[in-house]
Amino acid sequence: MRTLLEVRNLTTEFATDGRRARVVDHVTFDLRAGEILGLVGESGCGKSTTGFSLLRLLPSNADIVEGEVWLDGEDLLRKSDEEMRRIRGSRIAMVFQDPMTSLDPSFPVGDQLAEVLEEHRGMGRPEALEEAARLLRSVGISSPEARLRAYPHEFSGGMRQRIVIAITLACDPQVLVADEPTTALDVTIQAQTLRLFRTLNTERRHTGILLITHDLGVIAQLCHRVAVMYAGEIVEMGDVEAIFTRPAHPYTQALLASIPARARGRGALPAIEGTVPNPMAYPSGCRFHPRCPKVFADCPQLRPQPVQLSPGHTAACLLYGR
Amino acid sequence: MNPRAMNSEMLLEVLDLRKHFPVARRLLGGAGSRKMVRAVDGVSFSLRRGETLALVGESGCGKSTLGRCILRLLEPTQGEIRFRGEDITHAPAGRLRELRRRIQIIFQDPYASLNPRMTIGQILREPLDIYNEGPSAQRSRMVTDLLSRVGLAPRYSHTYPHQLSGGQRQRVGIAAALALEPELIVADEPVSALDLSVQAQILNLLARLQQEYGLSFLLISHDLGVVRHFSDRVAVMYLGRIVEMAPTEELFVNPRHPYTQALLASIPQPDPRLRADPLPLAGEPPSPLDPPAGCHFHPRCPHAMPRCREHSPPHYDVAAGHYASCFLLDQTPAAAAAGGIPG
Repeated sequence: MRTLLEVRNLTTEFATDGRRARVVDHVTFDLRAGEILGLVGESGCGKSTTGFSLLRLLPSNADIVEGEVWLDGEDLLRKSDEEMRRIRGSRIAMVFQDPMTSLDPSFPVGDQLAEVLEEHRGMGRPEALEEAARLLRSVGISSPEARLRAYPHEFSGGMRQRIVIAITLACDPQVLVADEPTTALDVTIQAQTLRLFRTLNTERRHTGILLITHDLGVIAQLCHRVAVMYAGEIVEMGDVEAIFTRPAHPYTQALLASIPARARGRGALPAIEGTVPNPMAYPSGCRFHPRCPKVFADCPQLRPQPVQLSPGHTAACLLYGR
Repeated sequence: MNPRAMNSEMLLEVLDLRKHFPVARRLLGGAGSRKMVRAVDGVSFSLRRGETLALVGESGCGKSTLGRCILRLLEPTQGEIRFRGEDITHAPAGRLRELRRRIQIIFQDPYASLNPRMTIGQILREPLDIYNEGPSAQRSRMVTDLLSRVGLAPRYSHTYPHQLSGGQRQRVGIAAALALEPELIVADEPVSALDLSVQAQILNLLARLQQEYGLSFLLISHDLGVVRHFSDRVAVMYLGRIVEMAPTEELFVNPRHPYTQALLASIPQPDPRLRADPLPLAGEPPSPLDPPAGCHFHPRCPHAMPRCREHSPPHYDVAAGHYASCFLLDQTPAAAAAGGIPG
């Protein structure tokens, strides 16, 4: 599969109260055409900031201080704001947890879709509205011609998320970044949305999807490959089967063990003691060492680097070498 | 089932409970008679001492409203709530005060329920002072004791809620619920806001406290993984009604209501070897403002029959402690003659 996006040493810092928090720290991965890559981790691990950094959609107190984001031979981090505005939406697009982030409550959804098509694909209004209806149908909205005149509030949360997906597809982007796209949805509606992603993935082989979520069920069902983040870093990466059946990093192992649905019987769940570290004060050495059941003398001293365990499967843990 | 709970005393009985909310007329364009949202529409169940009953369902199914009626934070419209045999449906304020010692709640977001201007020590001491629990001189020690019961060091009594992590705040929420030694805790999505690793800590804590103090839990949750791990029995709600009730394993292994079946099939299993692409349930739950006639689930049901559009199915027993409200389970000769169970 062709590599679409190459992310190298992406590092993003936030300034708060005169101090700097390194929320994303030297994150490196590739996204290939036709794949769904899952970026998973707990709150504060930097997974969403990674997604926002790729599109350079960061709040004013955040800076990308290092790294490269190559999309088709161009480093997005070297683009001017104006160039980036044109790339966003047309070549790399984002779906957010709350669909209202992307929708304007005061305009009918048809107008919002048509506007994108006019701007990015140079269509006239009648043609754009026709295409808008086709896109709505493709994301599973029935009688789309009639729904074009409806406002966002007239749709349920699940339907709004479909409309946002239709809008992002309007420009046929190469890279789709989806940040917790099903987290706010009820489980039966989530199942419909996961099915939609699966269909998109089969129909658009030239698109790569980066799926950011904390939900390991969603990852297991949808992704081809998985990157596990902890405290700003990718600690393990591999095929979805490898991650779920042969997790190598003690954090991945502990995370999987603490899923109630995977636990056997009603005994105590294997919890990870302690809490996720604050990005203002990461532990020294391996950032997981204070919570790690396999910690040894080197862990507080040395920063582990990713070690290849098998083709495509890497883990950053001193158990596997330095 | 939790063996200790099986033959223990009946703690809570809910009989045909209804909670209807009037809807402001202007929202509906001013026409017609006053509309009602039937948030809880005839729910019955019971809970024994030491037992955990889970109420599951999607948003708008009425599970949280039901929890709030039992706590009497909402006044039920109709029906009966009995606590240790006493009818508390319309208990007056004085009696409610006493009942609130016995029935406590844990919220999803403890941050919203903890006063940001008070230290954790002050927050935990407040109910002890209000209810005049123990000699005043000993209350600081009682606070320290509460903290240790939920796994927090005594020094936390001097901190403020914003200084704590989500998991620590939920521990404080649990300590506050335990302060007056309740018998029943309504836990409304107690771990939904927490990260997986912390969620496991809190579930383990709740399980330990249940063992130690013989607490009963009414667990309100949309997370079926949590429910399967933690509860003895499960009630599945859809649009204000319980459509299926069963011991937990029985429900997960042998679901009989088409809605329960669809709900369980919709859970994304955290195992790529169990990858499925089930045809998801079509459509969305209808509004409780205007529920469909007959079985509320019939417009989305793949097995809907003509009678489902007209009549509300009664509860059909399918095994010990397991019933489902679905005409597919009707074994009477008339139903068999009418064509039996369709594909």
